Amino acid sequence: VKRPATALLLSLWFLYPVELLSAGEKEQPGVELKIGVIFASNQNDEFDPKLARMKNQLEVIKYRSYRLMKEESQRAPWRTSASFEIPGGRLLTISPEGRQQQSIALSVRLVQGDQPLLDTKIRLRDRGNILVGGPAHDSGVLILSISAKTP
Amino acid sequence: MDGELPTRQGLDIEAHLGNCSACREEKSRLEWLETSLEKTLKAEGAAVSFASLRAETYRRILEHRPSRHRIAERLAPVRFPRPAAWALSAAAVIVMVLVGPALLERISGPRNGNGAAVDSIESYGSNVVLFREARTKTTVIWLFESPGENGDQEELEGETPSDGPAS
Repeated sequence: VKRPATALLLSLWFLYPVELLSAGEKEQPGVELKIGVIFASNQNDEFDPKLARMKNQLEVIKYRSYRLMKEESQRAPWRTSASFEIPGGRLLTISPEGRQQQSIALSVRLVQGDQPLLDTKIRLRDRGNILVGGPAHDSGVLILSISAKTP
Repeated sequence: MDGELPTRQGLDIEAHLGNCSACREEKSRLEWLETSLEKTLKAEGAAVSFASLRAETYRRILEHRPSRHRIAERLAPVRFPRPAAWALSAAAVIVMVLVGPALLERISGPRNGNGAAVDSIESYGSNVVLFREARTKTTVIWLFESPGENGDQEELEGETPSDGPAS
């Protein structure tokens, strides 16, 4: 690279796709919702390595074994809903209601067949998560990690 | 003039000089200049003393300079890098400004902690416990069936060694 201007232009050229990507994300409105379905039981002491980032969060829930059963992301525009199938014939529906300061307001509904199990309104920090646990599954329980982030 | 030309070329030039008075004059002028310079250098060069120049050079080399001068000299390439280096540095800064915050956020998670607020809960007959994990500030909503409703209290307790999540 002989000339500074050439070097700078080359660098900016490499940056262009990065900026395009970020602009593309900005253009997509709504919230990216991500759920993780974790199976907790006392059958053994196995801890799924995929849950390493959540280890501190899960420690307080006194089960011996944790396994990630499912992970799914969906982008939902504001005031619409996204549905996630949960093992055991359950359905989790999440609606981003709006933004309040640094939080994202969500309406969360969990049903099993026609039977509602939970209806809640929560506010999450952007990129934060909340855990919903308790629904029985096989010889353990399910823990749902719900997180939301805006572009 | 100095016999450096190849024989054939030298003979051609000699033949040309025999016929061209202008070139003969130019050749004579160059020969006179060369002779004059040679004579002058031989006459005056011996009188020039390089001793003082040599001594001054050694003095400057061995001169004790303040450490700040030496540091400044060592840092000179850093302070005044080549323009390409400046451009690359500027590009690196631009990259960090554009990508850095997002990258940091991805690595470190939520910017202002993981606090969540629960505005309302309807659990349709199930009992519900709401608590927060202290270290990561994670909020947990825990559902469990009412023991009185279906009489499976013992089964529920058997599922978790500590009766479900600690509060």
